[in-house]
Amino acid sequence: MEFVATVVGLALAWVIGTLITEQTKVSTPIVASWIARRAARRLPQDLRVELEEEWLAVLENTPGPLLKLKTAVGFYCAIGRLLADQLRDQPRENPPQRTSSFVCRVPDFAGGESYDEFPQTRDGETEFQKLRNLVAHTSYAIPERTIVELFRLIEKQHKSFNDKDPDAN
Amino acid sequence: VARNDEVGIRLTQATLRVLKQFVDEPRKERSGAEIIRETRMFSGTLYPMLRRLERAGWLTASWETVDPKEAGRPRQRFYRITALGQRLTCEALNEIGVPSGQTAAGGFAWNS
Repeated sequence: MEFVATVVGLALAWVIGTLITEQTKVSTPIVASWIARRAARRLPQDLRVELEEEWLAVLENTPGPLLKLKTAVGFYCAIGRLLADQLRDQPRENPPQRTSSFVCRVPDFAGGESYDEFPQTRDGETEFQKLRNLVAHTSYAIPERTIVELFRLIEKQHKSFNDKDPDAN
Repeated sequence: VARNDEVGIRLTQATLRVLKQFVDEPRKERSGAEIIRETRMFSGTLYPMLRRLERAGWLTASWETVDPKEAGRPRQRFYRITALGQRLTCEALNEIGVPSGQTAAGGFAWNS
């Protein structure tokens, strides 16, 4: 009786093992392709299109499900380096040297950033500068029209400040 | 091995291992899968390296000329070493005493 139970148990284990192996063989390449696609989609448009096709082709030509999976994970690991290389190669707008003027980082509405210079007042950072700086650094979440209005008010405030204190600049 | 050359490529051992494969058979075009197989390199290391070498003009890449829809599979991208890449790789390999794809006549296999 014990012998029969052992044989049945072994047979069951074999069947389950085979099913799992087969399932792994079938699903691993799918998972690997999914990982490669996800990895490519984290890249900028120009790189994404090229690398997605290339990486899928590499997986297609890689033998064995485990090696496919390892290669796909590698693609995911490559994202950081690829992005860093691309950023390094992009021409950067250098911020102006800090002189006696107040230099403020201002986002433009195209999504980039530029640097604006403001006259330095006698007492260092003024309310105008503080406010403008605050708006500049939070404007991504504020609608453009609101920012324009806000800037108009700030300019007005700045003008009145300078009118009161002509030696400010 | 780490060296900064005239076009700003940092030549690590891994980079030289890849470049040597190309220099040994300069006319051969290799897909990413072939390079991984030949060099046993991790794809996460290889791909940023290939991009850098391509941008620096050491390697050139071209797409396989098949229609992916007809072929039912994605197109492969093939890499080949350029004359510049071959010259600079040979120089780097000679510097560290590794025989490269340079011919006995002193010319490069690329030009022969």
